[in-house]
Order: sequence, then C-alpha cells, then structure tokens
Amino acid sequence: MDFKDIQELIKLINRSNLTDFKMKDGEFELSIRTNKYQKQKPAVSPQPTAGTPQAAPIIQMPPVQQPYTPAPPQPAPAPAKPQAEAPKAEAPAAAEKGGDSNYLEVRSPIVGTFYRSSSPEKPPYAKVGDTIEVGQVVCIVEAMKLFNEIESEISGKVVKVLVEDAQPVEYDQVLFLVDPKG
Amino acid sequence: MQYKNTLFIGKVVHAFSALPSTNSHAQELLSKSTPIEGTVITAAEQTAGRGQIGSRWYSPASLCISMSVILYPRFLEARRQFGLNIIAALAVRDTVQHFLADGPPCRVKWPNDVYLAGKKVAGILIQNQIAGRQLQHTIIGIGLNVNVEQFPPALPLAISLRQAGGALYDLWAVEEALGRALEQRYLALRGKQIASLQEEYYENLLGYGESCRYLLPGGREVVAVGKGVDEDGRLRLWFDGQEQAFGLKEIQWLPD
Repeated sequence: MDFKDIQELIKLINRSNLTDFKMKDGEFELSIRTNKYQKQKPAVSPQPTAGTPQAAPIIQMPPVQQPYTPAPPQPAPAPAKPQAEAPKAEAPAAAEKGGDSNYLEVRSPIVGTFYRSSSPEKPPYAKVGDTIEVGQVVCIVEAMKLFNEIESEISGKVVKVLVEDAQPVEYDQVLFLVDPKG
Repeated sequence: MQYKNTLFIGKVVHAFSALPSTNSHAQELLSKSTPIEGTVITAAEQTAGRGQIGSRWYSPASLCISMSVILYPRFLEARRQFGLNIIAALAVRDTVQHFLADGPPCRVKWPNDVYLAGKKVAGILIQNQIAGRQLQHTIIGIGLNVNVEQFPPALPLAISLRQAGGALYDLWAVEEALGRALEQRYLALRGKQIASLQEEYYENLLGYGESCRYLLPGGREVVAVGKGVDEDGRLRLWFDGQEQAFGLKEIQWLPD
C-alpha cells in the first residue's frame, strides 16, 4: 500500500459513514479514526487577509473542516496506532479550543511536482519556523514544464511542510501549515 | 530597438550581449518593478540558460535566439495554464514554418518542445507566478536554434534552422517574427479561442492519433495511441483498452 492508496482510502472513508477503520496486512497496520459525528462548537474562523474577500483558493483559512490543529488532548481515547490525517476530515478536533490555535493552509493550485527551492543548490523558500509574508513566494509547483511560483496570501509562521521536495502534488493538496499568530 | 508589426510584444526590448539566463533576468525585473506587458529580454549568449530544473540549455553566442517575454495573463486560471505551453509551442512552430516553408514538417513534442526532422529545434521554459487561483505574471522563455552549424556531440538530438534549411538567417528578423507569432497566439488565448488552439496543437503533436512506444512508471513498455492532453496538461494515452493520463515524469516517449 503506498501513499496514493492511503489517500484514496481516506477519501472513501470520508464519504462513508465509518468513524473507525483498521486494517492489517502483514507488517503493515493502519488505523483511521474520524470524528465526524462528534458534537462540537462551531469553529471560529479567522478572517482571511484583507483584500481577499473570496475564499482564497491556495491559502485557505481553516475551513470548518480543519484537520490540522495543534492536536490538543482529545476527549476521545487516542487510537493506539498513528492516526492518518484525513485531508478533508469532516470535523475539527480543535473546535474545542474555539479555533484560536488553528493553522492556515497553503494549498496547491495545480497538479504538478512540488519544489521547495528554485534549484537544487538554493535554500528552500520557506522552512519550518520561518515567518512568511503576504505575496512571498513559498514554493514552486512544476506542471508539464510550466514552473509556478506560489505566492502566500497570508502571513504567519510555517509550522509544517507537508510535502517532500520533488514529490507529486494533486490539485488543492495542502502543502504548508502556517500559524497566523506565529 | 523594438519590434515592428506587433501591438505590445517587443515594444520594449532589453537586449544583452550575454546574460546568465534571460528568464532569470525577467524575474529580477519583475521583483523590482512592473515591466509593461510584452517586455522582451534577449541575450546573444546565455551563460547559464535554463532547461528543466537542474539542466542547461546550449546557446552559443549569436547563433541562437534566447528570449523571454513578460506577460500578465490574469484572464487565465492557474489550472488552465497549459494554454501557455500551447501558444508558445505554436508560435515557435509558426516562426520555423515561416522561414522554412519548404523544409521538413515542424512538430510539437508534448508538452512544449518543437521538433524538426525528428530533432529538437527549440525549447520553451515558462515561469509563472500564482496568487490564489489566478496567474499573476508569466515569463515565456524561448530558445530557438537558428544559425548553429554543428552541435556538440553531447547534443545529438538538436537541430538548427540553418541545418534544416541550408542558409544563414537574420537573427533579428527571426526574433521579430517570433515575437509577432507569440503575440497573435497569445491574443487568441485571451480571446478564449482555446479550443481551436488546442486543435492546432493536436494537429502538430507528435504521436497524436498514432501508435508510439512509451515507457510507463514501473518500467513497462507499451504501444499507445496519443489522445491529446487532459485539462491539467497531462498526456492522454490509449492502451489496454482504456485511456490513462500521465504527467511529465511518469512517462517516457521511446523514439522508433
């Protein structure tokens, strides 16, 4: 089972009514838990940056479905196995925190290959801990020999880079998590 | 020095005798200012012309055209950017056909290389900036082999206009024609004529509607029929009774 298969699986589970999924195949074990039916307060979404009235497509404010949160201790018992992160899980675990610690996402606007720097010998545009500004280039996504510098539409501190250099990315895939308060 | 017979491309031309890369210079300009649309940067010689990430483009002094054109295709959704490959490849092809009217047919190799008699006559490198879903600016970089008499042995698959046509060409005339062709194609794209542009791209696409050999991910070799490109610009191939689309790094075209 490779990364793509897992992605597919997560999509399927998200579309289903399942809240718990476990599988075992030899050495490989996978456990996915969704909290889609957990009761929760509505998340307080921070507003996107001024000047982007429409939902910004690349860099989205945490939507109500915001799976990437600083993972506060959850009331539900944690699964024994590492929990797969659903790209579009239905309910945010962090809603309890009122959304004030939510991270923003930088997403890929196109299908292509993700590059963290403009050439192999150059340093990455943005690494964990860096503060990025609106309009700053954070990565390159190459698609069929078209090289795209992706501008950030938000400012904050990079807390996670979710894709390895030179890896393929899908449309709307989350690339970076950014803490707007960082 | 500016192009005649164009509306906006080449009304400002920054011509250098040598630059590391015309695209990089265009990027630098864009980072400091907002050059007017159609600004062209050329170099008689590129000392570090860029091919794909990590590779270089051979461009000896005054024998090739190395030009970069700055455009602001804000009408184009980022996801539809393959249209830029289409117009750039067609513009190069228009130019080559113009100077080699009786020459061998000039074809496009997906995604954006231009071939003459089975060899590469031009390379295109497009660099965009995206904010949100829209393209902000694009730099269309074109390297066209014009008067090269002989390529180094390391480049057995390169060809120049001179080699194909047996004559020397006026570089300025070729450059101007290229600027004009690009402008016409760009205006067609802006005029939402993507369907007819795509049709023309297909008509000139190597392997379109033909059976060719390809190397699939995992090393399997297949004979597949080219069906064009999908909306993300991936190559659509028909084999094993079904159609599949492949990205640039997923598939290798095996010449006959």
